[in-house]
Amino acid sequence: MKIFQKVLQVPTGINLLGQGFLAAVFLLFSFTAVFSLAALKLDIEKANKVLFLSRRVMLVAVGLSAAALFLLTVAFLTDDFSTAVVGLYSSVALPFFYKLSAVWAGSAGSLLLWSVALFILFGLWLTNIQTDDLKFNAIALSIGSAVCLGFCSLLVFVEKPFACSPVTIDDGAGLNPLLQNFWNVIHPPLLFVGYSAFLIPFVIVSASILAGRTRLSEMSAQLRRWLLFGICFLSLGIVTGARWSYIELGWGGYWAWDPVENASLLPWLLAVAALHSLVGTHYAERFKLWTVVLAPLPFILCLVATFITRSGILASVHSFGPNVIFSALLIFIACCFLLWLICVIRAAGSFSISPSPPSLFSLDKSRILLWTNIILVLTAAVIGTATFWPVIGRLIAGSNSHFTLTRSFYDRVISVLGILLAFLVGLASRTDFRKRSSFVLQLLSCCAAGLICFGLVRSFTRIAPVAWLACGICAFSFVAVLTRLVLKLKNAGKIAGQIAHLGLLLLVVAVCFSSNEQTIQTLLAKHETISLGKYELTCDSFVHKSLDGITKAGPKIIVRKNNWQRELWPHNNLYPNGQSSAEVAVHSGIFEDIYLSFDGLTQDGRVQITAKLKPLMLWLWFAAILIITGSALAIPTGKKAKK
Amino acid sequence: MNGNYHISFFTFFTFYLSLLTFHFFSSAIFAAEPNVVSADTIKIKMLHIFIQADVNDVRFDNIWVFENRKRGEPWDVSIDLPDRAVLLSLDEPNETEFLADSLSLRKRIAADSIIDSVGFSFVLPNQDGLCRTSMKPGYQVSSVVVSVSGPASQLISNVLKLTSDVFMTSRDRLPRIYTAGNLAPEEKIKINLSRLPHRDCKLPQVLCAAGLALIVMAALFTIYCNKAETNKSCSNETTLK
Repeated sequence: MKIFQKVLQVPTGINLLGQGFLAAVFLLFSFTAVFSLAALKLDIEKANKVLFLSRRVMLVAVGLSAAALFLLTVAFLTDDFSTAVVGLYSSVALPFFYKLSAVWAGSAGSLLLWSVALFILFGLWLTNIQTDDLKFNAIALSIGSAVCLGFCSLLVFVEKPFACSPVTIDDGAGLNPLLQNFWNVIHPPLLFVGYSAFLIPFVIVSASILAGRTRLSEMSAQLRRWLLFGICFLSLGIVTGARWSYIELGWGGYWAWDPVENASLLPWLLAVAALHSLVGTHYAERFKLWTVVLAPLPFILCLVATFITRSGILASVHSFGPNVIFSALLIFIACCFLLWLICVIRAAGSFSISPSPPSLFSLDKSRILLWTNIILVLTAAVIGTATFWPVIGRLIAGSNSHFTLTRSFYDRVISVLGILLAFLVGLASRTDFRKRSSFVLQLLSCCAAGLICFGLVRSFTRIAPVAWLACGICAFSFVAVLTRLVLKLKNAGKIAGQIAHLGLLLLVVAVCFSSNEQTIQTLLAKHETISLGKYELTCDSFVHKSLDGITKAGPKIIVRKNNWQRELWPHNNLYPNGQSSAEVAVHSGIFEDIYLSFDGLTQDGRVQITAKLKPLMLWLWFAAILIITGSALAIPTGKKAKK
Repeated sequence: MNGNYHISFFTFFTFYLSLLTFHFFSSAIFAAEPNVVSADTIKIKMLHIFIQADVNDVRFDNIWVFENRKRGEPWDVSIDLPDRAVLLSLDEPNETEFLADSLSLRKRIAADSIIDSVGFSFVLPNQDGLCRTSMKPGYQVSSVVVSVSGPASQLISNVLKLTSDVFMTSRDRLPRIYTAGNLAPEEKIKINLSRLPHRDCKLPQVLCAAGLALIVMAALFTIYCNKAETNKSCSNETTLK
């Protein structure tokens, strides 16, 4: 028997248990999805019983899926190389922290992590749902369970995180050096929690429309909370990913407009648009349809992001490469999209839309919100089209064609749209002032701030004209938001919103500036000095260190500016398994970062380095913190805001 | 049912499935051989080969990274493709010349370049086989990375070391990566792209599919029973009246 097991790799131990758990989860979700739908055809008494049972069954499924994730984590932590993914992404010598992150380093493990996050959040929503509407409950449970079943199918039939290793190995390949980074440990879980949260708006809107409950006010508090929750965690995920990209040389800066990066931005943009539509429902009826259209889309786009990452359809440094998940995921996305389409068509018939929409060019709050939504959706559409441009090109002109949009395209288009958004933020803050004197005073102060900032930046910096404009507009809006924040706002939800808006303004400025970095690539002999902006860089020595079997080698560079001095050590890591990675050295200042990377050593002993001055990077991270803080503070304020 | 019964069932089932999928295929060939014009000044710093094999064809996506040791002069590199190779694409078609008669690629690289690369893809018919190649005299390869993908293909090599790691390059990451470093001139590389037996246990999938079908039937049966019960109670009420 043991010989058979060894030869045929029959699952044993953790693999058997893990596969069993996932199969059980699949069956339990099948039960809830099918029976909660069947409940619609039963007597009220029986239907209630079936729904009660389905809920309990679903919670058991959630528990089992969490147990499956726990098992996989145990397999990684105990170096159980009989599980294929452990052999592929971990090794005995890998530190504990990275063994943990190796769980989601591969496609199968990360899908399991996302699925478990999705199941838990859906379970959490389901236990807190406060409605006696049997039809809504049945449809919501059925849709949610069907989506969970879809994820489970991918795990059971396609990705198989508990697949046995085809060969017996004593040690695994280890984690790719680029993934051995603190930010990678937290980036995927945060991103997946964000993605998962968008399932709830998808379920709420779909179930409401299909159940014939089109009164948005009943579900707006829940929609708002879950959209904010998703935005908050997705922002955290994006920012931690950007930070990881920034300090890992291989990824090419904090944002490279890579298809996978873009794919995570699309749901964020549409979730923000959906949130603004929801706010708009207080001012105008038409936003109800906007909300129905936009609120489920972030979840579908999260699936599209997964498709881009895992299908290999678009070349990306972040993707998992060609994968068998391609067609399964495509079918899954098509089903969700179809459901969304049906809901939109049904909703379009049920909501009363005013026959003649008022002019877009007046300046009340609802028009500004409408413009905000248009720009956000337009931005998402532009990024989405540009991301899929290589695929569109291949479809039109054949498989050998190369259609790729360069970074400059994104920079130009998105900076213009970002500036427009920044302007609208300022306008929206201004419109709260009802008294004419306050209005004139504030308008004058905002315009003065904008003009001064524009003039200063134009005079004292040598950056692109679009950045002058960005600074002027952002200063205008910054004063407007700040004035409103200090003088007018008492409501915690609105204060949180304004904090996020301040973050957006800072972000626009920082992004416009950060594209104006100075770069030099040079060879330095020992004690040789070069200049970079106002800084002087001197190669002091070449340092070798060995730590936990990792050999680190690179030049020690002294950075000087007037009396200030700092020592930086960009180096290469050589790992025991022969892999290597370049580690950059960064000094962050208030106005600029000094960013050094070690490119190699010549035969005559000179070091090749790349030195960059990256402006306003600290502002960028601070802006991200403001956006995240704003959205996090707004989550618990939903009910109060409604009152 | 005790534990042994489970294991026996699993073993039997997996054995059965493995028999069905248990056949080997071998495929082809390693890669094109470089022919460096001035061997003393140029070395191949990195050689990345992405192999995608199916039953009929083997596709090779190549990136050859050349290092210029003696800067200041423009330099030429040429790479010979193996016989029966069909060139699919060139990364830089304007800078790389393809000579169809001799099946070779030529590129002139600027004098000030420290390193430069030639990227190209070609396809070969899948002949049952072993691929043997050796590094030509007069040049050396610092690092070779071979990525293999395709239906259950596994590369077995004397020289290339299995790392099976997810290696990241500007192209797609592929799951099966093999590396070798500092190949000496005339070093022999033997590669056997053989297919491993399919060892996945399909029982969970079969159980899940069967379970789903059963659940759907049970739900339909429940609805049917409920309908019948409702009809019955309605007819009873009518009779009572």
